[in-house]
Amino acid sequence: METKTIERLHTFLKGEVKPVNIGISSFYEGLTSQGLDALQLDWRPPALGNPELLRILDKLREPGIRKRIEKANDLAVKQMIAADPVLEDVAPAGEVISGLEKNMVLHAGPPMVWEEMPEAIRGSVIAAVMSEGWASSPNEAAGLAESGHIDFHPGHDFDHVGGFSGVITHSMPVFVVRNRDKGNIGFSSWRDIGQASGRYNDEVLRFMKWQRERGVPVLRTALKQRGGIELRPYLVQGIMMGDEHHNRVIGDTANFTRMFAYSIVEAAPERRTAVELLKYFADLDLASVPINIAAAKCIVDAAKEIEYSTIITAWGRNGVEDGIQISGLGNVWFNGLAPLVEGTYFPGFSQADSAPAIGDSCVIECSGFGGMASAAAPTHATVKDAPGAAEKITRDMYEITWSKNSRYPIPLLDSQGVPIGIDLLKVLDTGIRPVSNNPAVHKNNREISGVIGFGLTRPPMEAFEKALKAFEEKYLMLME
Amino acid sequence: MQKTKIECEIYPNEYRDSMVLMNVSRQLEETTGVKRTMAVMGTPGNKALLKQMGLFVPETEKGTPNDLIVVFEPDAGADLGQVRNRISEILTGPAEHGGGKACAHDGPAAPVYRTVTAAAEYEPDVNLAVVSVPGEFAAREADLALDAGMNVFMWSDGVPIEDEVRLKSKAVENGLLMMGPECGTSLVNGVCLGISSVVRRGPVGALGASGSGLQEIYTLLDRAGIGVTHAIGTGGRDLKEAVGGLTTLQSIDFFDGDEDTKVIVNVSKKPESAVAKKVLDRVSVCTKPVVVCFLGENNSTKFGDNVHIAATIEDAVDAVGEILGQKIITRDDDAALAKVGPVTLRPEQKYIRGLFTGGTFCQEATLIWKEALGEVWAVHSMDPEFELTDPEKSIGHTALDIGEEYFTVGRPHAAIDPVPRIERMEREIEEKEVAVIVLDIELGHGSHPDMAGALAPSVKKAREKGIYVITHVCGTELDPQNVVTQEKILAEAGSVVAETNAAAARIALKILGT
Repeated sequence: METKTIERLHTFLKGEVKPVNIGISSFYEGLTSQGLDALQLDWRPPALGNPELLRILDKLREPGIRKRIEKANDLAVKQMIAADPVLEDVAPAGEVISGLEKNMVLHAGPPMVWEEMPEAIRGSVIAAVMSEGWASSPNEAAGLAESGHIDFHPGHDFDHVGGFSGVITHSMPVFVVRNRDKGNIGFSSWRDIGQASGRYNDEVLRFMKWQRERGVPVLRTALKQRGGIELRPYLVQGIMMGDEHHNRVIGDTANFTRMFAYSIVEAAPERRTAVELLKYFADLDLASVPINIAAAKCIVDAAKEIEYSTIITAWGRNGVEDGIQISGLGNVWFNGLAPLVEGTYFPGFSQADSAPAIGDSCVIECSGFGGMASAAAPTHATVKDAPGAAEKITRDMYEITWSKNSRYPIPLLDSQGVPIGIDLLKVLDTGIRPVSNNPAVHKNNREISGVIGFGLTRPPMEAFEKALKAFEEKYLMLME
Repeated sequence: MQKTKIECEIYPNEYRDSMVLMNVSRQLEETTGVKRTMAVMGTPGNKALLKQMGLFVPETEKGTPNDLIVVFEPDAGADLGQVRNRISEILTGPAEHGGGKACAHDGPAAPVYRTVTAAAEYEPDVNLAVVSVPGEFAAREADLALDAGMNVFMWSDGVPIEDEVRLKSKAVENGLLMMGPECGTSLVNGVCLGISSVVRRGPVGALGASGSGLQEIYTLLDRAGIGVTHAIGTGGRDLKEAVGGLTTLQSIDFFDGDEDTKVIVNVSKKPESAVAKKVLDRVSVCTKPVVVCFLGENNSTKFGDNVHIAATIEDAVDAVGEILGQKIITRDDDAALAKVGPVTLRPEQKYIRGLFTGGTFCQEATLIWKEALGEVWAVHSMDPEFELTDPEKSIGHTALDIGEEYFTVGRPHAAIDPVPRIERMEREIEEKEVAVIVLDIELGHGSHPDMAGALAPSVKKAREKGIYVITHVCGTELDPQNVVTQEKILAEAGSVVAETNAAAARIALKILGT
């Protein structure tokens, strides 16, 4: 033996034994009864015991490819951590999203056609079409959508991610966030929650008109005058205030309003609009969510399309399917069925009333926040089932992420950074799927307004299985 | 029937967070006398929600965004005063966690990890993985552990031999110790792994490709007051030609260079000859005395100045004793047998049945019986001529390793789980031709808390049927089960208690009068 390896063996055999037990629990008890500080692994068969997936996972651990994956994932996560999102503009979508033509409608999640769309998206499309003036009645709008004269595309293809239906058209407003590190831009609609969850009544259309005519010009001017608003400090402060930036954003909304109020007043041509805008931010707890979504999109896109990377760079649901994308596999969706929200429903409602998960907002989770950072939002934890559940979730998430983003420390976890870079391979290794914090939407959303509860969703395992097989096909078969 | 009225309570300037209020609503719903209820701040959005749910009454309008509104629909005839009291109780009491369960937090719970990689990442001082998951997954776990810089103790069996070679090569290359697969016992710096007895520390470096053989050696040494530096289990197949003694040679290298080790003892089942030669070549250049026991080698001989070859475990133990100037094994079989009185057998009682949980013990007894009796039947017999076609049915003299996969599939190992052996024993004692049943017990951490107690009823039954039982308990007084206590339980049940496994085998022959 080499001197170094002998030394290593001596160090082990002469030092303190710190064991981890993987398997039979009486061995764990045997270790602890000797006074050892032993760990017991919560072990379960990797890849859910599926031999085919296990075979691929094992192949991907061989040194040659493993090194490439590690290097790619290191880079992906490094670029996400380096991301420096700045809110630069609020603008009509068609003006800033290149390729968004006048006959196009973007929607959340993987691609789908009108016939497949759930109520929430259809209603949302109707509101958008009417607000654009392409139709003057809901029936006419639906007819237009059905006629094939409208091109439907996933917002993801245009760097747009939206909560709920994620529906956006040419003249609807979007928040524009630029990553000043890499230059990429993320868009998220300044949505009316009613419209985004599928309603198209007069109130909704009135609000959309107000946004377009009065709200957007003032916010634009204000942001131009400010030279944009840097979002990193805002995101850190929110975490310190007990927000996780997805379901829990009261601190974010308050902060944003505080930072931005004087600019709104300065930019408003008349007092009335300033008051209306400030009242909007004061009344709506969730007002800051689209800003967070656009910021998250900026962060996640910094990791996009890195060859060999197994980091998840998109996660979206269209109310029927739930899909993910993998950095090293480009813009291909891997889908399964969209799940129902597991959580707490308002009195009188239950999961049976709920529509399958919808929306692109889980891009927030891909960027390290939301459900991934559950432990950051202790208030949110009170609706979870058991004491410490939220902390447990984030600890689980550390097992499936490539790294931690120490720029955003979680106070309750001794200031460890949020878990960042959801790794396809780790998800399959552990069987732990990422968690998103989501509102539940009523399945009959025309009668019952949007949200009927809050809880968790996880993407279907099928999506990860398909992605792994595609990864093998692209990278392993090539090498052979 | 009278339509129930919606009741509305407004608490001015009483702010509660919406997440907390969802929980309050849930607790209220569980209150007797309440059909439906909701607690919200009086924002326009919340009022709209109440309207939608049909829980809005004119008074509700009075609530401002800073006021807490609690509305409820009482059951017919409900005591409204009581409901209101309950509401203020919930609002003023400590916030309950979800499910209404009391929160009993004794500080943060120990973190639980799903993967060995995560454990390594977050607990960097973890230096050993104890692997006992099913064989099809075990190699993967060990590989991840080695990659994370951990040493490995692998109890699991059913691991392909190519995986064993790959894992051990990786371990040796990186100065890590890969004990197993199929490793039953190891003592690492005083820590018991798998099923291991608590023994004193001392000058003997023990290693072995045989779990029960290794445990027998270090417990017998301990009973004579001699301790070990370490006892390294290498795994049952280490001396197969394919594996080439990777862990054995690595351990000998270690012990040879270890100042605290004065004598080395190595035990294994009979190795394949190329590997035996490799091991002997290595020990012949050792700087300290080495005792090598390859079970089934014919003679105890000297090999070079420093190397003692021992044919049996007892010889190996005695050789170590001799080097250290001590006598260890009494070999007084008659005294042990005398304790159960004079031997009386019915004429049809002719056969021995060995029901072992230690693989090496089974093999050792088989060798002893074969020499005296000629034929001994077994599962996976060393002698194909005497292979049991139906493992469920013994023939003539039979020696079974109940720890074999056939008997334990889907269950814990028979050294931990007494059930498979008890079931077999209950059937053996029904057979008229059975004269003697021979048992072994391995004590220590990780083992069954009271194997003697679990076997005692069957021992008694056997004695009532005129069948002799001989048991060897491999363990020490420091074991959680205490060898003296276990032996006493067996003796009281009527078993002969033998000081070694070989003695148990010999006493069985004496009973047969062979």
